[in-house]
Amino acid sequence: MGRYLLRRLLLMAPTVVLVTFLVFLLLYLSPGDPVLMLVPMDELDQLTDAEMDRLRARLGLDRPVPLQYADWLLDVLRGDLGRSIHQRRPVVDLLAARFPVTLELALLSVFLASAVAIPIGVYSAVRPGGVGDVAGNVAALAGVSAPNFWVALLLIVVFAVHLRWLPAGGFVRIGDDPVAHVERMILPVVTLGTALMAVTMRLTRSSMLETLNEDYIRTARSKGLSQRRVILAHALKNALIPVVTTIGLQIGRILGGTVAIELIFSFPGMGKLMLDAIFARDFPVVQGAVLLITISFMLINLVVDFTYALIDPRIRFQGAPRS
Amino acid sequence: MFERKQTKLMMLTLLALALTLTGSLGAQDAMTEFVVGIGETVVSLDMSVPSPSLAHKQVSYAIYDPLLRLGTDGSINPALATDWAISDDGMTVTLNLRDDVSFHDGSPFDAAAVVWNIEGGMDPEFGGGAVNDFGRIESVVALGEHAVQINMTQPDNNILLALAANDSRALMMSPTAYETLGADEFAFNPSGTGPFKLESWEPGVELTLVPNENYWGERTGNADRAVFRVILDASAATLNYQSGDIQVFFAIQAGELPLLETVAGTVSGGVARGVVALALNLHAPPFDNIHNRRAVAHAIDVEPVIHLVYGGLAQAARGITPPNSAAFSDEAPPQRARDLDAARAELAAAGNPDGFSFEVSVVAQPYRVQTLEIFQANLAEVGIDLVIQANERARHIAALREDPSIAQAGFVQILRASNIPEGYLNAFAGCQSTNVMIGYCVDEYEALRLDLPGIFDAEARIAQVRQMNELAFRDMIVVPYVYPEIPYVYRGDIIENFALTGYGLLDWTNFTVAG
Amino acid sequence: MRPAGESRAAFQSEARAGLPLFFERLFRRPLPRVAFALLLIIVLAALFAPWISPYDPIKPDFSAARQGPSLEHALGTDDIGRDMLSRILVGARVSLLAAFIPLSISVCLGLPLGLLSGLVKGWTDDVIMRCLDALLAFPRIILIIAIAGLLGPSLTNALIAIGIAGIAPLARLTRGLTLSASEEDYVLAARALGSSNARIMLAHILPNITAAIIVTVSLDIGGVILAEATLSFLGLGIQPPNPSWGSMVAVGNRYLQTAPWISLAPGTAIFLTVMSVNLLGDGLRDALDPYLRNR
Repeated sequence: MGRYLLRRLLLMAPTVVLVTFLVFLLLYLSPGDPVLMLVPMDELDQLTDAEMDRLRARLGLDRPVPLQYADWLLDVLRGDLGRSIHQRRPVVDLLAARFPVTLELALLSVFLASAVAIPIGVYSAVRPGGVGDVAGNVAALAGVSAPNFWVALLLIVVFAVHLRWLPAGGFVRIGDDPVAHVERMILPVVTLGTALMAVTMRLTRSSMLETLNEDYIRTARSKGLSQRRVILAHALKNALIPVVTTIGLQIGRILGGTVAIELIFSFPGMGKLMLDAIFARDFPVVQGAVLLITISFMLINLVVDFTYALIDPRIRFQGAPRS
Repeated sequence: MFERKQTKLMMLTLLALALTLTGSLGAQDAMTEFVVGIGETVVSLDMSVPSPSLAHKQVSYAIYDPLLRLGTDGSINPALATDWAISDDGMTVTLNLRDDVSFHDGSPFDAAAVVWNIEGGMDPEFGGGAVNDFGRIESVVALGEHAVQINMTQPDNNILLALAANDSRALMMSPTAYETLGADEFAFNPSGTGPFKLESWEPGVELTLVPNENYWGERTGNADRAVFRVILDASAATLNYQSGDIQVFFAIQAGELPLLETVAGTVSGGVARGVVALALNLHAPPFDNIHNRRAVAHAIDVEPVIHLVYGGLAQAARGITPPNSAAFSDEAPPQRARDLDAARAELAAAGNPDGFSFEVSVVAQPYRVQTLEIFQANLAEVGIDLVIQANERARHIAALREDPSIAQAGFVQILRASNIPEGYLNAFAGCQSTNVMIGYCVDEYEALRLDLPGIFDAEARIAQVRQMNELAFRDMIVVPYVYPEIPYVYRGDIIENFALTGYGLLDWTNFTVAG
Repeated sequence: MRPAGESRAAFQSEARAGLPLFFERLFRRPLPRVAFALLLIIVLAALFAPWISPYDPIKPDFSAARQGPSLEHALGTDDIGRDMLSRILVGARVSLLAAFIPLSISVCLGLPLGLLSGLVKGWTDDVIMRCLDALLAFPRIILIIAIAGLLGPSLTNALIAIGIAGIAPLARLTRGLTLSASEEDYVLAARALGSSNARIMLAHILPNITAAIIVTVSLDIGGVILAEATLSFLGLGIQPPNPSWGSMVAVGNRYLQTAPWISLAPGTAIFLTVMSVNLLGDGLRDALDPYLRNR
């Protein structure tokens, strides 16, 4: 098991390096100059090439590109993520301010989704083909099919514009005003939760169905145990294993997928940070953010795999994690 | 086993939520604060980094002071400098400084600090965009502890305005703090002499200023805190204003104004701020031909732009000098009206009677794209095919500067509220411009342009600017289409003594917040 | 993990039974029928959009901007007075393109890559897998935005970017299927008989994994349409004045209070389309692969 863990961790390294190199390449090849992004539009025309070169040298952007990447990588290995070209702050500070926002969004929406979806999924599985099942299935499909930016706008129109129950956006730190913080979290969390709910519900249902057909459940039933007891005590426990796996993976996925929501709700999270940085050609920030998200994503995967293996005795650690 | 774990987790989360909710029942602080909504993220508060946005200028102007201040009537008033004099030949400027001022970090404001700041402004690397303003300064020397002398290479009638600017190195930073902290740290721990100082700053969220208790000037306002909250989405911003979360809202989208005005106690207004024009690439077909430029000018319809994009808060432009400039004239150039026959005649004269096709690069902002879509429909009526290329900003700039093949046209928006007669000309033309699109370089015009800074007589200066303006119109170097107003709203029932600076920014030193 | 042979056999026997049985299975339940009908309407609307649109979708009527739904304009007008219904009809074409182009790119590149990786093993497999892992670990929408940014904003480039981002997941799925298929008896037998890798791949493995691939791809259609809509929403997709549902929603975002139909109508169109594609994909899965039923 230790060796398996080690192998997995070692395998992460080339992937992470590859990801950062890919980001660097994509940004470098895109037209646009980070230096020009620092200058207001109406003063751009007065900036001479010599001035630009000086500014570029000051920011360390005058060196050959491969060297810039190598320097960055070496600095990262030394624990230094560098400084934002555009905002001048250390990238670490920016990430420290933004990551918790996105993480909170991700965790709360996964929590909400699970709390709603798992009971519905179990219910559908117990009475497959029933009205509740079909309704749940359609609702789940609806959840997957609705674009999250549209759900967000819909929620704003209903709850912020018409009912005036909740604010339409903006972000308040929990330390500044906890009530305002919670109020502003609700709509984005519901938006993100909607799509997750659907996936979780469908998975719970199918996993539960499968489990209910297993021999030991049939045995339990034939022994005369009540339906309720069978479901809650035996089936649910096993059926939830793949569900938990998926939930874990979803957290990882949401971390990098909240751009549109953050834009609509004016949330200062990772998505907005990355989008702005891509548009400003702010290499160090994009690199740092992608690095953080990629590593979180992979670590979550690793943890999920381990939990999976710990819970399910049928899965054993193998030298090779494939197949 | 798993179930139990999950239950525990669930309990913990619920507990956390409960704690959060009860914690907030604690006393709300009884501070008098007002919250300003800003639509852009403020970046660096180091004045040696060029200022990228209006919100940025707004915050900078509260933290820092210039030597001189521009009044709303265009007058130059004392600020950190008490009085000043320009020698008869225009070659030296002397300024006497206040002796009772210190920076937020406690270090004294003196002649050495002024020399440090102005020299920084003359250095392209640290000029923060002031290099042009300070372009004719040869040297700056301290005359004792509280006076400086600026020596010029050539006379510059704009030198006082340059020292009264609302951004870059005209604003005095603390040399001590700058050198102790280093440029990178100073950028978010700024130290100036202004009425407010930075208390906290969460990038992308909000920036809080508190009064500078050692402020040298007069401050009658009672606000304990001024919060600048970033709300990027226009709808969200409007809703936040409606709900009372923000009380001042500047530089809003004009279309939102009617909604905002329905909020009780709201006072609204607009600051005339310059001119918006369509810039055409004069160096390549089709716009190297003046008839094609004129055809575009005749074919576009400004009325729907004024109503749909600016919500009525704009005037049709007649030239590149807007009404808030001293050189504005309502006689020349003549007011244009949409004239499709004239447009067709110009097309025929250009040798392409059936029209042509051209591409416009635009930063993908909704109101810009909307304007172009209107023009697109207008121009289609005479056979001109306008292709919109909505780009992100980096690519747009690349199109304007590096690769003119990407687009044949773009926007120029000159947003300056000051009434300097020629404030608008340099941005549109000049042989030194690195903008491939609007590098209008004609001897006749260039001679007038270079000669202008030496003219100190106000009448003569205005006359010369008008002459240049007419040349620009004759050659149709850009197609100006509106003089916009930047609308603002504030809660008049909460904020009293609302005022604007000479630059049309909020002057909230005297804001009084009603209990 | 699952007895793949069973499902393959079932699939093959079904394939022999022919298309009628397949359609019978597909439309036995009402939901796929409704979805199919809805999708048919959308496809027809897209195809005949220029002829059935009540107005020119790109010609504005400035005096009629931001009007609510009425008899003249069934879904109202947009920010500069264009008919929303006409724009939504024409926008349907973009969404259909958005479904086909990216998926074709993903399949054409991802499928061979996955087959190769699954069959060759060894260091080729390792290299391919590491690259795929990198692409998979990369936040998907950020990858798409970065590629679209590199290529420049246009509908085609947006679709290419979405397609490229879809290669890795598909290659990974194909690899997994290939790996498990190559353990099957008939493949082992073919190998024992001395068949070449290429022959095994084309004659034995490919036909047996097709069903699973089709099902997965059909369930991806919705996601791909949403990706285009998101890109256009962010301003990286279609160029004005041409309408895409995503870009229409983005425009309407500014008028949520005064003219909510500008964003809600195209948003609903996206929703209904993706919903029916997903419903049909669900039915397709049930009909194609009996083993997967109930999943």
